[in-house]
Amino acid sequence: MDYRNQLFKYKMLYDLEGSDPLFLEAMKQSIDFHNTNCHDYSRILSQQGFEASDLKTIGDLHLIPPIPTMFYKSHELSSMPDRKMLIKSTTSGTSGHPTKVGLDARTCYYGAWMLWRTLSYHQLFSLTPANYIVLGYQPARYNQMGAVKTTFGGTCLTPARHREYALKRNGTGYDLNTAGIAKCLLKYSQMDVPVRFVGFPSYFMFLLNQLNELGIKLRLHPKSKVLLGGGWKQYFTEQVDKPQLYQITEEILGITKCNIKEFFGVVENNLLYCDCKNHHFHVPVYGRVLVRDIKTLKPVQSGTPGLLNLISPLVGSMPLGSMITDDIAVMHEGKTCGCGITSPYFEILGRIGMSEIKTCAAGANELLGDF
Amino acid sequence: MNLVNGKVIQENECSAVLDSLAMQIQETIKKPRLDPMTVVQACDTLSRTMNEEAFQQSLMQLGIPAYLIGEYISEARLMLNREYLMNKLQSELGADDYGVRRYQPPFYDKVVVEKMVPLGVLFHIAAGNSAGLPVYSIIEGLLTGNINILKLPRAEGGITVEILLELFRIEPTLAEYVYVFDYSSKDLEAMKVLSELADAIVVWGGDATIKSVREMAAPNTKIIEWGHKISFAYVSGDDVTDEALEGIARNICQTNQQLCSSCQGIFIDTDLMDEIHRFCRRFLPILEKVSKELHSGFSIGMEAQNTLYQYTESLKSIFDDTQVFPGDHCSITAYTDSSLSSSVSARSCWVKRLPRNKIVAELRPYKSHLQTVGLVSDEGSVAYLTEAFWRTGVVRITDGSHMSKIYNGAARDGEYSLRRYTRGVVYEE
Repeated sequence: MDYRNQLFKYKMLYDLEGSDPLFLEAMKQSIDFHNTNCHDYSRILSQQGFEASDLKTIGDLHLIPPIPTMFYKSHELSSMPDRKMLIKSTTSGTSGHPTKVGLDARTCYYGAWMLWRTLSYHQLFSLTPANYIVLGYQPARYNQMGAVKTTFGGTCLTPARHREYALKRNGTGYDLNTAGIAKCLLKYSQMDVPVRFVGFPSYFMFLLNQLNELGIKLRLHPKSKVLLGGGWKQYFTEQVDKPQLYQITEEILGITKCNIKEFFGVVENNLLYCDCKNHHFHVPVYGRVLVRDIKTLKPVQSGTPGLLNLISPLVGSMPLGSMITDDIAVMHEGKTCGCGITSPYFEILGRIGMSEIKTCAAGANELLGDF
Repeated sequence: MNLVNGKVIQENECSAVLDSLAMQIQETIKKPRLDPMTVVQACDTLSRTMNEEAFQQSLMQLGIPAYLIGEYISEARLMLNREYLMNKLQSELGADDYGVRRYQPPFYDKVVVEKMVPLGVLFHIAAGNSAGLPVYSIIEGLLTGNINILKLPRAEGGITVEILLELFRIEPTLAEYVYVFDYSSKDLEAMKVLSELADAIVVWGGDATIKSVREMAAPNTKIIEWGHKISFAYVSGDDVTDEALEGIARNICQTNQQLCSSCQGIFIDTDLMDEIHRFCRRFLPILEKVSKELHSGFSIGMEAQNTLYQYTESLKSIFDDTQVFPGDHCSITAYTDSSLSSSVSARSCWVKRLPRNKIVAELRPYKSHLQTVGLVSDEGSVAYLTEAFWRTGVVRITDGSHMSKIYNGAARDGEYSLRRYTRGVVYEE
């Protein structure tokens, strides 16, 4: 039986308890598959003395050797030949080398189910056409970054009348299109069509600041939305309070808090986490999330910050079942949110690395940022 | 914080200042050259009257570990001291009258008077990795009689303006020689205006920063680069002492490997991995001892990075001969290659093979990025090894414990700052 198939077609998006047995079986199946088809993964499992049969209950998920995203940057792990990869992506490489991730057809198929269920649940599909301001890169053949693909995907949730990109392709690279964005935005604001902003939160904040400086205040169509994803990454230290972001968005664009959606995802994990009406990332049935102690890597209780460990059987092409990201996060019990979703949620507190002193040897470009 | 004519001004006042900056600078340049002795005198007074408590507070807010604060303050006092600055002026600009030299050159029919004069206006783009660096960059500019515009680094906590205000209180005539702006480096327009006003841009930063500045600067603006450098230790011979190795450990832990002069890793004069592993086993307890003594005070993000780094390296070691030696708040990783790299996380150093006959070939490709070698070897090898390192582009060789210490009058990254901030002119009698 294909447990992954059943899990990704499971109808109740946040019913973790009900889906626990299915999730466990799907994980076992996934680990067995990668163990057989990826020699290097198999070596990691045996070195750590782990077998899929060690997973007796859902509480045993922490036993799966987690692999840090840091590891994938220097060591490729693959369970299928290259020709079977339908989609190839790379991470942005914010903190060093990018990671290459390839997804096979079945993974894409299950991924599509996940997207359908998640985005429908959060009512993000619409048949009303919208104009899009893309706060990221325009797709180009020379850019394989996963973020480009997901950002573009974000512009397909409604029929798109027009898309304007903050970073426009020029044949070999990208040009910053600040003037184009401002012009388009003014044009969009005159039209009786919703506007959707899609892209990196830091770019969105940058845009808001620019509009603010120019004294521009717009009242966009009431069905306009802001869809943010991609994390704050290097902007972590400058991260604005989210409530402040919501307030400025309403002041400058006339888009209310409930029309701002944030997504969380990492290319190495491929699950999409969409925030609830209280702006929390609840865990959907497709994944389980652990937070691990920053010293011992042992799982910690809700409320204790640590390293984020994402677990999911989604990807068949690469052994990405249990991976540790570069994020520092904390888990919260679902019921403390109050939005009605009962599954636990995680909060990203920041990224690993320096916060006290800037590094001379590594922090080369920070003085001039993206000059 | 922005500082103009000795007064702190608000962000919204800056654009008006920027509009009239060229004129203000003209007025200052017209005046007689700023006497270096005025600057020395003011710095010397500052070194004696500095409000230590306020300074401590600012450093603490910057996240500087407690054990380093005392050392930072005494270092700052020393570097502002009259004797120190006089020696710096004399050793960098010449023994007599700071560079004035009158003589008849051979094969020439006139007597010439050569001297060093200020470049004019320096635009300092300072790095944030060393507290107090922006101020020191400005003081060097003042000593050479230049007008100084400073773009503050991010998150420097206001300490620069605090110290400068104190300096201007002591010597008000210096105020018109210093402009501090808190512009973001992304504010291209402001950055361009400031760079156009400058005779030279003094940039502290990595390759990408320097590249950006080169692209921004007009062809007739000089760029004075203080680029990021990398330093390491080299251990040769069987009879090196634990004390010498402790010096390396002390540098690693004291600087958390954050400075250009910090030891990132250790090369061993051998071709054998067994010796590398033997060295790691010997060095780990030394590093752990020093690390414990100098409590790290790491943030959660830093701690997590170290843990993840160690775990990742241990996974990698399944596939190659990389071996991690984890310690408490520190670690050592033995690699099989001989490439030079920076340490991935604080207090984690690499150990690699580099037999002496391969030093030049392996390190030469890193040429202008090399800075200090902490050399631990037997007496007999010193001459051979130092000669080999000079050929790679290394500019300083010392023992482990002195790697990040500087002596009065020393060249910085192989160059003398005061000479770079001046130009030689000649009057022919």
